[in-house]
Amino acid sequence: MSNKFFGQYLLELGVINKQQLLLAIDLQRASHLTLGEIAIKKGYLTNLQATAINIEQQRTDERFGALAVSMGHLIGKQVSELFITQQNVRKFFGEVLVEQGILSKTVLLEQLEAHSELKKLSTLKLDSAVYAHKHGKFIADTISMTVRLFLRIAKINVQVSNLSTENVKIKPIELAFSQFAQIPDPIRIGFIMEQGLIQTVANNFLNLEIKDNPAVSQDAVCEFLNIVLGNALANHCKEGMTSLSPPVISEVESDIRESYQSCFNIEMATPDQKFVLFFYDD
Amino acid sequence: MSSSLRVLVVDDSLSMRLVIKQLLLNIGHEVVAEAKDGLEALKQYMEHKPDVVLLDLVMPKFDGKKTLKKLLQVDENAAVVICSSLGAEGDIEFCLRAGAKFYLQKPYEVESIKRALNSLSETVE
Repeated sequence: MSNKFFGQYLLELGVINKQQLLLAIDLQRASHLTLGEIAIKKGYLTNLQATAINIEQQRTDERFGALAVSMGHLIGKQVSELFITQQNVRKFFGEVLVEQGILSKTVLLEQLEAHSELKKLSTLKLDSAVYAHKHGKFIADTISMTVRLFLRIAKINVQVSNLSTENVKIKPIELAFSQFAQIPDPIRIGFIMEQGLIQTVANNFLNLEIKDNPAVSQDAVCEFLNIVLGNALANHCKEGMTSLSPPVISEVESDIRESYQSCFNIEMATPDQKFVLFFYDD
Repeated sequence: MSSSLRVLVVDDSLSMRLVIKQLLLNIGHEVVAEAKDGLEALKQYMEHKPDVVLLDLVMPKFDGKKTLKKLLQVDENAAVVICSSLGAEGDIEFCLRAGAKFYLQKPYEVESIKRALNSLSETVE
């Protein structure tokens, strides 16, 4: 699949090795300077001023440049200049590989194009796994909304530091995407589950042949969601904020269970929020 | 031609263990044991001394990152290939710096897993 980070894509392809990957990560990271670091280098800010802006930034979640101006440490023109410098010194992963002589520019361009094509293909693969089912559209929408929910939670985790005094909550309206979503904690999201869906997802996506084995079928759905969400989180969130708890299949509460032919829960969680994905056969 | 490797498969997902076992069989490697969490993995490693460990990261009880460190403590030459749905640069970097030989992101590409194991088989007797 997938939306793999370019370095991971090259590693799996055997174009670069582990040592080259780690070297490029180090060099790329060193080129990513914050506005504060650049401002200090240029003599626009002192260390103390930059620290004060950082603390205020964590408290208010406002951008560094805007805060520096509102706190009277920088003027707008200086902030613009800092942004330009930041973009100029920042290096892309592939750029570092070429600079280090690990890849030629021609190979880099070929691989960037191939990587982009692979992303398109992986989307098609996911679509074909889901849309093969008669409820494909509904399933795709529900998965998409579930992924967005996870991303939202993870992004909130990124934005709100432990210095923040604000208690950021998700607005109920953002969850009202489906009649099956229930608030509050844990967030419950309903999926239509028929044997056909489970078989389709498992067979098409995981390349697994399942014949009448409910335990494997449920587990396959768990793993399918784990992979979809894991990939999505990896590409939208900062490092350290991508942790998902392992998906766990749990018993559906007895009063709900009576209403459906068959149903089960999958519980998943980011560090701050538990989700119950509720699968049922209508 | 690369030689056949004895592999320990560690994944909490039953379906993924089935998928990977079939895949390894198809490409000529032997699954000597499997484990569904890190603690079981350590036990199986000591018992079977596999050539390669395919290790998931998101697992209950004892997750993959802790298991990786522990495996390398008990055997600094352990050949561990991470197989995870997590694909953030930080996760990949952590595992490779900790001593994993390779990192594969789920869902697997057959060619990627072949390539990873082939490169390891050259270093195994």
